[in-house]
Amino acid sequence: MSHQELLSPEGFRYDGRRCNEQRNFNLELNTHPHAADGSAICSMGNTKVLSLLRGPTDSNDSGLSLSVSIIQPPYAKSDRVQVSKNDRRFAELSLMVQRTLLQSIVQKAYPRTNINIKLTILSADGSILAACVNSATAALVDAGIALYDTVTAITVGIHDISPLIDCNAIEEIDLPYLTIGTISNSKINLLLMESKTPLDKLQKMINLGTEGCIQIRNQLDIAIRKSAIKH
Amino acid sequence: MTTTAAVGGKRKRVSSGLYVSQKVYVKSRNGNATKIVREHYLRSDIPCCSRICENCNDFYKPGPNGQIPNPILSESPLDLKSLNIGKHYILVDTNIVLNAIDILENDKVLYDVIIPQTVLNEVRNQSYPIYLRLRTLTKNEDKRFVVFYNEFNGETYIPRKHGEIINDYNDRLIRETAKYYNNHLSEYNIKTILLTSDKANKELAQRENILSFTLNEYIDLLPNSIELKDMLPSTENFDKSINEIKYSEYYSSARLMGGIKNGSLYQGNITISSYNFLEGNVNVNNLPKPLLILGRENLNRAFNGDQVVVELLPKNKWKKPSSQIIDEETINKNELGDNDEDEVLISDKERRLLTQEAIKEQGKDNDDENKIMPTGRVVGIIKRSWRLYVGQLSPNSINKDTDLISNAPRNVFVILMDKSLPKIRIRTRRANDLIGKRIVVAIDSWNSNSKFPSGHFVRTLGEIEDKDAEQEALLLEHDVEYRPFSKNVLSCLPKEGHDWKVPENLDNGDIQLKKRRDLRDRLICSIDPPGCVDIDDALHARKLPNGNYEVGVHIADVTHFVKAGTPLDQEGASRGTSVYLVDKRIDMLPMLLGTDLCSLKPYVDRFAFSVLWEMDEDANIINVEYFKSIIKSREAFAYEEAQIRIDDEKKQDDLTKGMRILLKLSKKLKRQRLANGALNLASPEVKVHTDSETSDPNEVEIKKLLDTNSLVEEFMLCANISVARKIYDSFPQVAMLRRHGEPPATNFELLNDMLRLKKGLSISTESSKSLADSLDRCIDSNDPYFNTLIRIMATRCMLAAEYFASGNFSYAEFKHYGLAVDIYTHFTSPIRRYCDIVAHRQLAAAIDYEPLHEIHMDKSKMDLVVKNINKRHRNAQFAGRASIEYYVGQVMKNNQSDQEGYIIKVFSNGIVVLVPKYGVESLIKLEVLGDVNSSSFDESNYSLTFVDKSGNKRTVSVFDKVNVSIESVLDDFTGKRKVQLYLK
Ligand SMILES: [Zn+2]
Repeated sequence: MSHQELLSPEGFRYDGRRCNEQRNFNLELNTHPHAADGSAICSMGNTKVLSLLRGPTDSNDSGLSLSVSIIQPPYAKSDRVQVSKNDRRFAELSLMVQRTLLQSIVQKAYPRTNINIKLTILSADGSILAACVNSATAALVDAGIALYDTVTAITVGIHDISPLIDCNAIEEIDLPYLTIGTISNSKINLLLMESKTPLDKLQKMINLGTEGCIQIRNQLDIAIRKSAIKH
Repeated sequence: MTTTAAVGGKRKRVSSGLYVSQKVYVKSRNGNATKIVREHYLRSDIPCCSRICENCNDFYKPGPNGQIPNPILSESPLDLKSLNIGKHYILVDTNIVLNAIDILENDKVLYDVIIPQTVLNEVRNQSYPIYLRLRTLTKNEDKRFVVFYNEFNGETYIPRKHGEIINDYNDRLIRETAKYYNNHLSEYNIKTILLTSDKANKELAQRENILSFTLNEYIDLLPNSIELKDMLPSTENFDKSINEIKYSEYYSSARLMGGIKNGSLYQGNITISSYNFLEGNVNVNNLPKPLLILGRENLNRAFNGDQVVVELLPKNKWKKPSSQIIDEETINKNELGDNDEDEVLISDKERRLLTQEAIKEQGKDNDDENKIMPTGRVVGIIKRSWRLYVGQLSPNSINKDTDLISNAPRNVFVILMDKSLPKIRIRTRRANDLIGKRIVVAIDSWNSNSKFPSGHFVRTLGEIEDKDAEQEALLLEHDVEYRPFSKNVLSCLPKEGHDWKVPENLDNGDIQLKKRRDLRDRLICSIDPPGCVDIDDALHARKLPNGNYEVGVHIADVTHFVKAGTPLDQEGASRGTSVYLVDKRIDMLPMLLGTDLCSLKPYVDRFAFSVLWEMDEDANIINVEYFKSIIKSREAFAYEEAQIRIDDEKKQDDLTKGMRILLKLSKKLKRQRLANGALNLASPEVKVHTDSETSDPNEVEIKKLLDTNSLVEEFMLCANISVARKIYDSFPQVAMLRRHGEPPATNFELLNDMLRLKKGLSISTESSKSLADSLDRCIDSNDPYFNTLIRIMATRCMLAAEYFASGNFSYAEFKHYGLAVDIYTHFTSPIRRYCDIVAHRQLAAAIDYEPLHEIHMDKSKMDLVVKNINKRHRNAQFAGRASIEYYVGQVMKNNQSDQEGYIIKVFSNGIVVLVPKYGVESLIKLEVLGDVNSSSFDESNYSLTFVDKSGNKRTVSVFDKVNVSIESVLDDFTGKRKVQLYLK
């Protein structure tokens, strides 16, 4: 009972947002023009992910090989994160990001090609996978990789019967939540949920998540345009 | 682990009307400090919730339940024309809520109240029960309490200053809110008054031009202030003057936690003996038996039911449990000298050794001469069980000559109805009015220098012995919710009301309706106690062509109307059960459902949940089916009517034939059940007859049992068992079940010892079968009642049955000892028990009728439900018994008589006698029996020798049949009328 109230009867979340309000979202492309072929920083609230892309470069494999790695430097670790446990966790997440992105790249345009994306978690406050996907997508765009369309992702938690969009770390600890990613016309190409939830609630969460992804997509478009004007 | 919030940062715009700032915390754990940064969003769309305000119209947005909230604060709040206050709202600080929640709840005062979020959170952290009461207030449309999210509002949020202590910061946040309201509503001429009990805060507020008062000052301004003043919480002012006693101070929380961790202290719930208010025991994990706590000093201000921390006393202080009856009355007359032995200091290590000793001591065979038990003392209280209490002013605490004239406030004592609790000191101006009344009081504190706890007056229920006042007192004492159902709850009922009907067209596109089976052709009837209006169950039976029988049990389909998660469902879950008093029923569900739409009344179509068996000639179950159905009961019988109809050989219609099949099968079921070892226990069930016109009680009788009683019972047991298996099969983790644990053999030690000594008999507790058999052998050929007496006493040695979610026990532990079945639940009374509602929903899901709502799938939520219904069930039983006790007392008022009774307990200073005729039992104290000084108590023989009032020497011992005269007396001390027995 000593737990914080994550959603008040009046509809306010612990940090003052309402159920369907995203956190402060920020996306910047081409942040490290000299260090990488494509770069971006995506922040969702206090979660901040930098992505650095190298490629396309030649490879010996027949098709496109996309490699994704996620690291979290020590200074970005918050108190609740344990290092050893996270290595495997990050390996899992990078695989998820890799598979999600692969579907959006026009693969036949890149035979015998390597693309390497390095994701660095600069600070963590929930929705890490979603921020990684958004940041990596932006880096792909920045590097000029041919895409069918952009993938954007967000998390949705559920408090009793109310879905909560864009969860922060406190919400993720106590609530069942999913990460959803969609590509053009709300086609879902990423859905990760690690706790049990009844089916009827899942639908509600997916609906809100799909809407959230569209909003992120709009913000991604704005960021792309902004970066295009700059250069 | 501690967190300290530090300075907040700058604001950054997110979108229109939404800004984000950062809150920085420093969290220290094991000496390491970590900085945590959290986002904090500030908004401009938080409504003030006043009905008069037009500026906030756009800010009412749908909440989590999808409903758009309405403004609540009145457009014309209380207008105090004096003192230039005028129309005003009230804003309260945290201490007001924590200390004066009763007066906030009072319907005579304090309407239109604003609770800042800061206060809400502080209350939540400090007392969850009070937080829940405050939340209930915010849902009460009449009192008009609103929560204002001041920390999320850009205009009222202020960051914490560097080095500012948290209390000052919170006060500043609250004042900021008061300022905001005063500004915001100035155009409408409504002021906002800050109520605070903190002097400094009040002064600061006044300096910032906020009207601010203490609760006392504010109440003084009101026209009905005198009446209200008593309800204010007691403050330190009267504890300072008191110095009657020095209880030992409680240990610091660090020491308590450390001690529990290293095994030198124990934590547990304390139970105060109902015979001796200075004796308690605490169930402790490491010890096989409860730890004994003796005397005022060792109890150290613990209340019955408190969660306490205890430490063991040195071995030379281990004692026998008292064989005396002690209540406050005795003590009051003759102050018991708690001897002040010197404090003995023992190290933690020694205490752990002491634990070993204690375990050894408790493990010893109790046939030993010394029944010395380890004792302990309370050194800390984790959680108080304090609630509202009912009592009356102690007649002794008022000096009739002087006190009744003056109107000055003074200290008086309130004696509580619950005798295991101490009296409460309250301060009142209205002692004269309150004398002779049943009153409700709340406890505020119990300081170490005060012999008694301090509290304050809450309200009057009425004259002592007035029927309504006593009934309300009884409901309050047993924590039974008896207020009418709220609008919110009633709005969940079908709109058609009493005109609701089963649809005529069963193929109207409703998929669930289509899943129902139409059983209206079956000859179904119900059999219940006379006058029953909430008919939960109905039955039918018919012969099948293959020679077997089709037997159906049909249960009211309550969950068709009570959908999970609705306010109606929540109310039912919180009430847990209907409560039956002698002449009143407190319903779990609104009347419309219980006595009409759900009730399986005769001659009309009703929805039901059916269990249909195919049984062979020997009542073996060949097949079972579960489905929702539509039925039409042909007749509603009372037990006796049904019996007459079955016995009447002239009746050869199909309905009667069906009933005869049911009776025949039920007898076979019962035989099988008893052969398996089901217990046939007894408790004296009494029925009070009331005059039908005046509803005054005028006769008491023991309920008689007919064959038709057990007819219904057998099939209900059968249905419950079948359903239990089915839902456990489908929901192995969360199935709602009921278990009855095997009683530990030690529970029967005393009874067995008495039987062996007095009658040469014994009870075996190896299995329920051997218990049942040995109970059958407990016969006194000269006294047919003796067997029943032993059954009554054996019942009291059993454990209580309990509800549980299946995941919490292993299958072997599901066992219902009393019924001798491996698995059991309650399914057959959904109108009056919440367990049955959950079982219905789980069964409906198990047969794919509708999906199970997640509240019954989530184990932690199920645990809460189970915990509550177990408590409600117990309280309902106690309330029912107390109600009978009250009425028996009333009946006896005019029926003084002589009766036979049995001695069932012997103490050194009294005996307990049970009178079978009325099912009453009562204590006869030694001073009532005869000469106190010449008595001798033979503990090993359970007998007491004394010289009676007429000078004859007399020895009485346990199981003795005695003649007693019964009278009803009004106890001046508690104002309770009770049965008093006198030995003839
Ligand atoms: Zn307003």
